[in-house]
Amino acid sequence: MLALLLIIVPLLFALVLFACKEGGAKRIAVVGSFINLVIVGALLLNHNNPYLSNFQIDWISSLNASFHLQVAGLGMLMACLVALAFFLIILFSSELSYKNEQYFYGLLLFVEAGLMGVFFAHDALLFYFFWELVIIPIYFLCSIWGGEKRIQVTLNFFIYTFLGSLFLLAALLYIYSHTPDHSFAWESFTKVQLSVKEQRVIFWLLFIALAIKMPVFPFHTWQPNTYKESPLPVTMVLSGLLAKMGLFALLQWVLPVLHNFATPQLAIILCIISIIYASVIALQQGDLKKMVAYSSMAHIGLMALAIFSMNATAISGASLQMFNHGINVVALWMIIALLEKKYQTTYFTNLGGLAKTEPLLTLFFVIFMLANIGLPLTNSFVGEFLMLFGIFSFNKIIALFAGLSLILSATYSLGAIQKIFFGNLSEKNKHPLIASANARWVVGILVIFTLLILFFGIYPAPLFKILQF
Amino acid sequence: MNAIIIASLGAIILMLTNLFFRKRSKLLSVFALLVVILLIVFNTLEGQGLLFFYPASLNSAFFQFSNFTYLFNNVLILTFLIYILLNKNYLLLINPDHSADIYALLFFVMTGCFLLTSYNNLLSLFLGIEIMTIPLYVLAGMDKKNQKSNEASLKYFLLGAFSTCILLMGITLLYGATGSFALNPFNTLNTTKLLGQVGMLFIFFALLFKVGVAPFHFWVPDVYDGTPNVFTAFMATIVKVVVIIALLNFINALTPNCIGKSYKTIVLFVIISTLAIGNFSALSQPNVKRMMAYSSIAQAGFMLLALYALNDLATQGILIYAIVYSLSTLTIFAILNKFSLATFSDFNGLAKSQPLMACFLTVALLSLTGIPLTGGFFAKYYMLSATFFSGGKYALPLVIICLIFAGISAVYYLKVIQAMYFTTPPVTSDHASITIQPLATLEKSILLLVVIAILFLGIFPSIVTQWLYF
Amino acid sequence: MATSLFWLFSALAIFAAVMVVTSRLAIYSILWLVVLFFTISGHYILMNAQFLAIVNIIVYAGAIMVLFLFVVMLMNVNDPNDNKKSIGLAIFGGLATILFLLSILNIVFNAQHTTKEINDLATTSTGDIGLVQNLGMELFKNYVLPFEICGVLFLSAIIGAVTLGKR
Repeated sequence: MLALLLIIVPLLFALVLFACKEGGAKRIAVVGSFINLVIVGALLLNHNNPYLSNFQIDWISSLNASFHLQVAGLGMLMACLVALAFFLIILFSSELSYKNEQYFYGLLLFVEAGLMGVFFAHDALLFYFFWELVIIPIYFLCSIWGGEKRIQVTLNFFIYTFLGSLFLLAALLYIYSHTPDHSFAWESFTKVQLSVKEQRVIFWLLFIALAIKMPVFPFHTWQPNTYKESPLPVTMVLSGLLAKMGLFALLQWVLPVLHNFATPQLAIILCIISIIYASVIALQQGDLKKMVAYSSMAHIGLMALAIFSMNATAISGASLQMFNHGINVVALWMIIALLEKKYQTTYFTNLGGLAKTEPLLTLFFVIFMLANIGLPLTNSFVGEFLMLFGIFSFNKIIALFAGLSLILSATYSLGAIQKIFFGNLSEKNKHPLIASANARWVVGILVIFTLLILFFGIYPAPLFKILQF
Repeated sequence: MNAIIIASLGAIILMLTNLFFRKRSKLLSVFALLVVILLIVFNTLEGQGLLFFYPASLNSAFFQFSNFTYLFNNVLILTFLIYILLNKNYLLLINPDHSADIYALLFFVMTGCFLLTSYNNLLSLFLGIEIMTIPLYVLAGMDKKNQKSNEASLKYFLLGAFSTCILLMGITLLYGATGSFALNPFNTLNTTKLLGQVGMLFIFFALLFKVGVAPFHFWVPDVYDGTPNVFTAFMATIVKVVVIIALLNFINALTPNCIGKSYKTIVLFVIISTLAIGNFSALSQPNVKRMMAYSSIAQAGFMLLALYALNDLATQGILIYAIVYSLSTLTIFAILNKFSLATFSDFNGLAKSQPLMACFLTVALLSLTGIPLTGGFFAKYYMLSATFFSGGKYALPLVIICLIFAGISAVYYLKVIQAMYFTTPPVTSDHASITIQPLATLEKSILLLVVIAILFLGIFPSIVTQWLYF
Repeated sequence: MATSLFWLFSALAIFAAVMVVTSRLAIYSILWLVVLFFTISGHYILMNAQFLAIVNIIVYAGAIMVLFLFVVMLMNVNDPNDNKKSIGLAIFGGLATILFLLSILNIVFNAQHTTKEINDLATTSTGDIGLVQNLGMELFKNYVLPFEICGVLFLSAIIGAVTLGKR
């Protein structure tokens, strides 16, 4: 029941926002996302109560598809991330002003509803429905409020992801037609028996579908431009939450379906290429936005690699990292948003020496960047360590490459700190056009992120506990 | 049977109304709507077992009525009702001297459609096709002062007559092989003879020609483009869907192996080439109407998957596909009516100037793309699912190819949405604002209902399919 | 006697058909078409279908062809240089025609092996279904429904013609 509320509440608020005037939109959206956060909290406390955590009604009985939502470990963790991130993102977005705010926030809440559906759906058709529904509002968000080249970039993004989800549909339909009782239920999906050859075909279909979403190497070309051109709150959602959809689907819908299946070498190699390639490109980027985009791609590649290694330790590390990476990357984009707002640029060449004028921002940025690298005491450390450990016991050479990514990550992250906050302060940046001191509550949001990072770095047990749900 | 008789009677009476009604009389459309409502009532009653016209025992030799027939007839009639409600003003405007005749011809087409949903005999197939197409040739050329309309009419007539020749030749060959016009498996089951097979192939191809799928699609863009908008909407929805049902009836009645082992290969080739040609050509069209012509080719390719699968799921699927496709296409054409030329740039900034219109158009386009939450998703879903359940080693590759083309189709549908929502209209040209007429209140409410229906089918498709099993 | 007549009519029909296509002047084409209709009527008579034979001559050779003649004469479409066609079209058209002819011939020759089986199914030169009386009985008893529907078809065609023809 509560899971259903998590979908319905943002939808209702979205509809209210579409109907209302521009003025109070911000507040309504904040209230909506806060209510959702509260519900997630309630759900965390009541996850054992099946009346509250489970919801099932018949949907299309002739197809054996039901509207079935269930709270389970990873889904719950991701729902926490979604609710938390959306609340903070929407709160933060007030700092950036957009035209026709009511539609902007309405669509954002729409995305939240879709994401909740993706993470709770216990029925393949329902899962696919939400999976696809997430893209539509994103498409409108990017195309209306994005940067200069938004229309072409967004179309590119949409076609890419739409094609990807069609592959997903093909694979789900194929599995559905082979389930013993012709049902879309998750349980029937896990019972399906496919030959090795069939499994391989299905694996690749799903791989393409999910690799586009994550993204993994040859399917990543939509990502940097989309991250760059989207309005920043949407970029936060894209990189922090939407990218996790692919990993989540891999764990929830792909691995349980395949039995006695070893990941094809090529998939693992693609993940490795993805990690190294993205890291190297991130090293050479002159644009902070693109650097963070590629860094995100490298991290996601590592998580995918951990999952494909089919090692229990690596998988639990990846699950943990999905949460923590979401937090870190959203926090990083917030700093970028603040920088861009104030200095109208995110290119390294135009920035530099900001530590003198922006000590507070520097501090936060350094913390977030260190978390991004995965330094001990920050939240990503636990996940990365588990992943590397798992991959190491899976294959030592692959673990070598995975470890390399950490070194590269440290290089570009520290390089970025160096280039932006130290060095010479340009004349122009001494007197920025918008001489706004950051509002107190913006600092508050960043403090919340810092606390989250440090808390889960020192004491990750709650996260593991949620994963056990 | 009721539907056939009432439609033809309605046509004759409408023709005679020319004597009594003034030109452009609103009464004409009211009268037509009355006939349509009678059609629904009588067809539904017949489905419940109440026949008002029962020509002795001759019935079953030429027509066979099943649950599916009645249901599909009702779908056709409802679509026709929506069509008239959306286009009634334009039907009166297109050729004011002949508005009664136009209605009469439309009802004749409907008569042909009802014949085609229920035929059980090659003779009735032929008559159905002819009654359906001959008025269409005329309707295509209704805008007599327009060169393009004349051209469309002539092209349609010549190519249509040619395909009818092929149909006739097929019927002749089949008759030569079996000695009967009847279309039942007992008659044709043992027709392994080449003569009969070629006959069936000819009929098959002729019907494909009438649907307008590759490689018999060449007439479609020119004819759809030249024909006045109102009639293109009619041709692209009701007529197209009916011929596909006729094809399905034909193949189902024969057990497909009669056509030969290569039947599935042929269908495979037709589907893939249709999807390829339809989608790739639609990408580069200068105006929306022509794009819709190619998109209708592509959509027909999806509908043909029913011919490949040939199972229960396919029957359900074609029903949903027919409804959703017709509703979406009618919506789009109702909005195209408001434009004089409808190039892509005409749609720039429509979301600002006509938000409701843009919203309707968006739903219709997304439905044609096959996005979940719109009926189009389930239409495609059923087709693909049916293909999987029909099995065979080509099922998976075929589905993947279809899906890739569905992805490509998103490009040209989104082009319109992009123009409406993300592009601002050029400030200087004020002619753009003049050419777009606003929607009338009636049209608004009808379109709203249609859009709600599309969305509703996108969540509960079983609302339609359950009627099949009553 | 019947067999030799059959061959005669067949040969004449094919010759006339070829002449229809190859004649440079439209009027000649139409006249050859009339000849073709006469030979087909001959076939009908051989099949003991006198009514059809007469109707064929009256309607097609008589009414329709005369109408064609009038139209062609009035519109004056007899300039042989009018219809220049591209060589590519001719090659591909010819190729398609030849392939089509080959496949049809294939059918015909294949069908010959099974003529005996077909004999009792399809009506051949014997039989009296073509006589006016029997045809009438058939048409108005068993086939009355399609017959009526034909009426609808013609009505729609007439309305269409009038609508298009009226200014």
